[in-house]
Amino acid sequence: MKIELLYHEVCHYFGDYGNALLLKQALPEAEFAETKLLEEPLFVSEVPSLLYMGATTESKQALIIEKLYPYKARLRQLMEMGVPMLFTGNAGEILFEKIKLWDGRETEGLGLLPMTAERKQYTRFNALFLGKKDALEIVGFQSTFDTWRGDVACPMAEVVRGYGDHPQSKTEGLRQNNVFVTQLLGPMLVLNPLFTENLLRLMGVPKPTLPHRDALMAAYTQRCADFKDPSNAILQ
Amino acid sequence: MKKLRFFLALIAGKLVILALKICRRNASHYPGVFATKICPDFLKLAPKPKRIIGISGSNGKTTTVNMTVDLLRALGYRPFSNNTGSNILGGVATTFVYSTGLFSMKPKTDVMVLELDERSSRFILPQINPEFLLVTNLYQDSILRNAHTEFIYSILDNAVPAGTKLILNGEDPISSRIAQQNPRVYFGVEPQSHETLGQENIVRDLRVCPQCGGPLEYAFKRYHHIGRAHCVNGDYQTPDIDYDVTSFAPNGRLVLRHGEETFDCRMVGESVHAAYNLAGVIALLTEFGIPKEPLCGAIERLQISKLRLDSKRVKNVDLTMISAKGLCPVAVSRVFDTLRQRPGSKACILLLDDQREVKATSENMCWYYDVDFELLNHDSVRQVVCTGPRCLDERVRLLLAGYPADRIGCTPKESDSAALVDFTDLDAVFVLFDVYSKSIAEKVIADLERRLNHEN
Repeated sequence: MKIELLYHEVCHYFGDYGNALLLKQALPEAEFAETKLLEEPLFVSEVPSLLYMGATTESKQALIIEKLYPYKARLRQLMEMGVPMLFTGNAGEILFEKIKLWDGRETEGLGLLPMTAERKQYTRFNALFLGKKDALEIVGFQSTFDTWRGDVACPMAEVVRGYGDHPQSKTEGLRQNNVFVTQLLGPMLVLNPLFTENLLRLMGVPKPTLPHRDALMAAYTQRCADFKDPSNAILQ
Repeated sequence: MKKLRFFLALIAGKLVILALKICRRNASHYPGVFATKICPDFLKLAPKPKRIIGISGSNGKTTTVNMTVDLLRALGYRPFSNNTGSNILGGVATTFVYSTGLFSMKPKTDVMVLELDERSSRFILPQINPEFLLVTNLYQDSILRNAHTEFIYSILDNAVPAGTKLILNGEDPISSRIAQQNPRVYFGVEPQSHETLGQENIVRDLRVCPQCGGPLEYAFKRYHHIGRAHCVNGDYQTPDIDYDVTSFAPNGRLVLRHGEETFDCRMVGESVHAAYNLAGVIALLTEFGIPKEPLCGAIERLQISKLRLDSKRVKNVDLTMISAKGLCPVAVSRVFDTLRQRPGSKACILLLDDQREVKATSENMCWYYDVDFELLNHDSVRQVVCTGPRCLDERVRLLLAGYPADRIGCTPKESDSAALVDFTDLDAVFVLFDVYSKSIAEKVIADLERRLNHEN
């Protein structure tokens, strides 16, 4: 099993390092390829069991789009094949059609998802998030300059408490085939052990074993209760 | 019209100061808030002292401001400063409310030393136009407010006025690149024989060359991204150091080289962070025009605040409070590193929750995964007690860091944390507290003391 941590050296912000940490401990036998910014991604020549990219800075996003542009067709192929992919924080925006900046400029994305990000220059949006997907509760934090808009056929989660892709949205993130794109930080996989187990199954792990599962579940259960508590303000 | 507005704002600010004094409250922020509401150009219009020094950065700015103010006073100046107040727009404006004579409409001082919050600098710097700006460093700070260092770097880079002379940490490849067109000098600290270098940390805010994105190599790396680095492709390197600490001994002497001159003075503090702070101050005040001899003489007499480290010995166990700025992963990682290196076996109690967030919401704890909890995974750290509303998250983080489960105590109630400490063969207990949890830490220390006295 090979997992690609795409541009991990610049895509680990806001605690997203923790997603890779959990994956490495959950899959001690797997090989982790930490592709660097100037290297050709693993996915170009191989099919990874998971492609993961974490939150990055806005300037690195533009650089990453430029680096990945030659491999756009290959990425589309893998997405259509059903290769599991996870993009957390602002990472998924590289797949969008465009990123609109506060002054009217636009950065073209890879155009692989029918979404647009709209960015404020200085105003940071911080909130807690509680959502539901099928029977699963999804929790996390939003901390971003951006809102997302677009044609979301299948979201990551419906909003139970908090905000979705934009202030009026009732959904957060999206899933297309086995590609998961979410703004949620936490880190996402650490905060959502049940989601993580589902992801591992998608990757082909028949009986996923999360390290310290009891501790992860205790924290998850407490957090779900905290986020439901109306005395805890959503906006931070 | 603008002058009238300014005058009214000044009066309002001074009335607020008076009202707060009557109520026995510190006037750190509100006078300036009122003044800038009445007159948005308040800072721009305020009469300026002849010389203004700004000090900003992620860590060390309060200590640096305090040292600078104390040294200037010792050297006969009467600096006004916001060092006991707020470092955002309202706090800086409050300093000008204090320092402007109501009837003379002139500054009451020749020198002002201002601590400047990095994020607020875009509102402040263009209006005050400081002669000098010292930036201690730039690290990952609160993601909610400051996002990441590139964001803060871009704010400072765009806000620094053209004529301001910069005093920069030459071993920080982020802050040393601010406003490249401005005059500048760099300070740094040579590797010391008593240091352990090359620590690999989770947070390295600059991992690739800022020019080409290629790998960075370090001649030496202290921690995080701090050190002397260059791009393997030759596109970038950290600058040459103008004020270079060649040696320092904790609480001993510090020797600094500047061109042909050597400064030999008292080392204020113990750590390399303290050496950086002092090097920055020496660089700043030398550029300000203070000759070496009087400057070193004043340093001999400096006192430093004991805010950060407070210790007492009870029945052969050292009980120590250490300030560990929550939401700031580098600050907490440095504290973990410091306590790990302390001799003897130890336990630590983590009081890292932001008490303001605790009251209002459920704290965003993403930053735990930017903190090097792995540093606590050391034989001498016998026990870690996680306490507060985020104790379960802290426990998860420790477990993922490889810390043994049977050495973790966990309680949501801070008042129960002392009871979980096992004093068997323990030399020290460290209570790490966030800025807003000092009083809780004091109670925990008192509980530990009671237990030790009772059990022996």
